[in-house]
Amino acid sequence: MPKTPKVQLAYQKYRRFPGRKISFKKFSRIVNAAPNESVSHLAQRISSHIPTVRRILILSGRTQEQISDAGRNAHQLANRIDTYMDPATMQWVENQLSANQLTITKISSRSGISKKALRGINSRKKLRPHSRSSGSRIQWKERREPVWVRIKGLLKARTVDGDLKYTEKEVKDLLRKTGVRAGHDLIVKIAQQVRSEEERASMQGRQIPATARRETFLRRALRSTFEPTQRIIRRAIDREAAHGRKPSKAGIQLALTRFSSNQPGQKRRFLEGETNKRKIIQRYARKLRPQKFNWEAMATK
Amino acid sequence: MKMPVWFIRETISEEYLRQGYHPTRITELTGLPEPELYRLRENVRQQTKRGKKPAAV
Repeated sequence: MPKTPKVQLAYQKYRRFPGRKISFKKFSRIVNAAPNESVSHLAQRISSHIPTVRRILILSGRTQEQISDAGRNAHQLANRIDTYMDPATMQWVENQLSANQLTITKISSRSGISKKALRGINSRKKLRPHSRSSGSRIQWKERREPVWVRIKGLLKARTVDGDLKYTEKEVKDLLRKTGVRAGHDLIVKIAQQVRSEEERASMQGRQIPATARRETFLRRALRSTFEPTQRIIRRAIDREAAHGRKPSKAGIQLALTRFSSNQPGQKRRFLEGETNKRKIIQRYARKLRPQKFNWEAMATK
Repeated sequence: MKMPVWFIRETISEEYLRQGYHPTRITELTGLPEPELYRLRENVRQQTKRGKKPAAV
């Protein structure tokens, strides 16, 4: 090691203090040590004692704060998990952190590294942005993913002729029947990914509007039964309410009136008269003990 | 007697309700769904004295 005049001057100054002194060689190695090397490491490296090394460092112009900072940083570095973990595991952990598919809790349980250490690795290497909120988003995605898969399946389903099977609205209704709630916006979003623009446009015309459905129902009810109109209206209300609509009695009445006026040859409506009721009671319900009424057999006649 | 089955079923159910039978029992007899029978029972009650059940036979 060259005897630079600055180090020599410092050594002479050091020699003036009382007590045992270390050699110039050791002294110059302490003075020329890297600023981030810890005192304990330095003392071990040159076979000296920690108080001696610290005293010499202060003498050479380093402050107590600089020495403690270097020590703390070195300690943290030595104890950092990524310095002593198996490199394959570390690689896996880093890949998982940047992939954003698993929550930090899950990565922790699979790798055996604590959550705190994982957060440390992430903050140092900046692998996963927004690490605090990403966990809940991943969990939400895990919960909803089966629904997305089902929507995709239904949107992709085709008939034997090769046409698409369901409209977007039909997909929503099918899912609702099995107790799965999916918003229209979500289905549209997935349809935009799964179907091409042409395919989506071709399905537009197939959507049956609610008014057309109502008219079909009314037409069938008028043609094939002779139920009173009030009863048909009640059935229409029940039917549409089951589809999540809120039909008004007046609206259906209006549709029925408008519709029946241009339908010639309708069946006569049945009238629920008191005489008829009395006849039925006399015939079927006159016994003291109520009898089972075989309505299924009657309906098939 | 030519009458629609639904009308016969409803009339009989109404009669049994008037006689004081419980909707569950009437469902067994006539096959009408219970919610419908509760609705009918309300009608029957309004037709007789308000809120007072008719005596059982």
